[in-house]
Amino acid sequence: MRFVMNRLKLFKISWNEIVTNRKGIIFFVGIMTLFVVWFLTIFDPTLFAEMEAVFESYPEVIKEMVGGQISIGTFGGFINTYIFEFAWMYFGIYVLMKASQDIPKEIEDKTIDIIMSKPINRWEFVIGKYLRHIGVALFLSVCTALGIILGIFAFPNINPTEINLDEVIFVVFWFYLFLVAIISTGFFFSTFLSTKKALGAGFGMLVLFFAFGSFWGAMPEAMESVKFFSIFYYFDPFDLLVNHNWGIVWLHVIILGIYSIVITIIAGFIFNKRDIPV
Amino acid sequence: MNVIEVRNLKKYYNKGKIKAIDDISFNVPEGARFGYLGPNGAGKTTTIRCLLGFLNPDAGNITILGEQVNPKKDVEIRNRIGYLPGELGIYKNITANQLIKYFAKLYDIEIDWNFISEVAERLQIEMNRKAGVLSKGNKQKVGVLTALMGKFDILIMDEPTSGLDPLMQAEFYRIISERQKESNCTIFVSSHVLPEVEKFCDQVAIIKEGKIVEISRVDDLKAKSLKQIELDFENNESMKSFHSYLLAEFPEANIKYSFNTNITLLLPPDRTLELLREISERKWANVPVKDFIVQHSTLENIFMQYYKDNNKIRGEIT
Repeated sequence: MRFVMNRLKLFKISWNEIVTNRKGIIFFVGIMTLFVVWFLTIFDPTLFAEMEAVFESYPEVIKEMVGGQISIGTFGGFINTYIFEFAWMYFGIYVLMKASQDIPKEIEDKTIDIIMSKPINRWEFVIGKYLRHIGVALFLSVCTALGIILGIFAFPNINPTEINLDEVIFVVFWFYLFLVAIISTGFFFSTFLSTKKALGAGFGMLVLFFAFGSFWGAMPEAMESVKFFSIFYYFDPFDLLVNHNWGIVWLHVIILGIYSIVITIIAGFIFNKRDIPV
Repeated sequence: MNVIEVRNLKKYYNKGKIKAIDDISFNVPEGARFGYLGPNGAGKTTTIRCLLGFLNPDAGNITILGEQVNPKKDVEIRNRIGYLPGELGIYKNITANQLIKYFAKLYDIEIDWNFISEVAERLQIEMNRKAGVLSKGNKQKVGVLTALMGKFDILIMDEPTSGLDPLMQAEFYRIISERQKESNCTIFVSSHVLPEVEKFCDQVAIIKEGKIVEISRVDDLKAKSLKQIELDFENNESMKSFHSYLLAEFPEANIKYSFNTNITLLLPPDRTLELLREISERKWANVPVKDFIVQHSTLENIFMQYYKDNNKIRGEIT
């Protein structure tokens, strides 16, 4: 029982983090949910189908520059293009910023001394902190899903009978894992770098992932395999939302999950080894 | 029983180029009020951070409450240690009340809420104001409260009165004295405010450039240290005559002050009697000494001796 109680301390840390930052979290998630809902109002199947047709007439070279394929005439294609493809910018940068600054901020503000003098293990502190971020990402994803569902059933421009709700909800879950992967990347750097360096390294890594995962098709053939080193490559809901093809979706979901787990374990080891400076 | 035992502790930075603490050993007996003295950068905070597991020592053993521990891994021991950091950081967006409640959840011990309320009242802590808007002194009071929130066996306090006004400093020492009387806890205070340490602590260790240069009871240290002698002469001529005599016959004398008819000097205890004999028997410029006072050296004087004289080593206070 005592063992279990001790382990619960990591939840106490994450819960305290969430409660003390609740206003910022609610504000951010609220704004982002409204943003998603507002986006759904601009969906016009006829107009967007025409735009898609225009795009189809572009030369192959230009189409390749934007990923080779675009589908915005259907609701699935629309939310893929306008919400999930840009999600790393709308949501990802914020969660990366928060995760990468978390532990260095504790060190720089000197609050780490007073908390680490309590009977908690370093790994409990790290996981407690990490859980706060993935909790926020979960809240964000749930609100995004609710916003999309609200749009599907409430907005006249969207026809619910043409939408596979299971696929949409699954993509939101997939999107959640993608956010967790971004958080894990930022958090990894936060365990051993200063605030500015961790943010810089986290953002740099995100851009690199984006380049590898999105523009691998434009690279020389020998270098195309860099795509496997990008979390962006493992989050591409186009096939599922547009072609309703599950293909290797589960494999990509599992790889994203494993990436987050492995990098967080490494972060925990690094933090456990390091000195906590004055 | 020794509550804290440190053996051959070393902590180096920059791949060994900076020796923050270099092979230090000391014991803190149960119930002691142990002062850990040294100027900024001497290694006080590094020692404390090794004791609490914030830093990985390069070598050495730490025994706390009779058990050899790895402070980083054996976190259970922290249920018995209250800690006040030297540079206190408090979460800005929560109140002292919320902070105490949060920390209480992280301990596996019972929290004496009545004692917390009493200390909060005595230190006039604004429990319901967010820490971000508190002054440095008020934040320090909150830090003190967090260090005293349990009935700990050891209190480790790094510059505990920093930022507190003199009234609050006195109240702080009263509170921890009462706490010690009640629980027989051991108090380890790191400081460079020497009059405070002199008044409060019964034992001190002086650390210099990462090495312990003295460990002693405060009374013993004062007894074997330099005596302060103040002399008053009838006129300036006789004072000058004494001054010349002193330089010739007592070259080890450290003249602290000399002006008009007064002179104040520090002298080793074994030569103090000799000088007093000379003073009582001789005249300077045909005039005897008008008055004199002999005092134990203050802790501050003792401390300054170590830091002025690079050749001094442990146990050789002259």
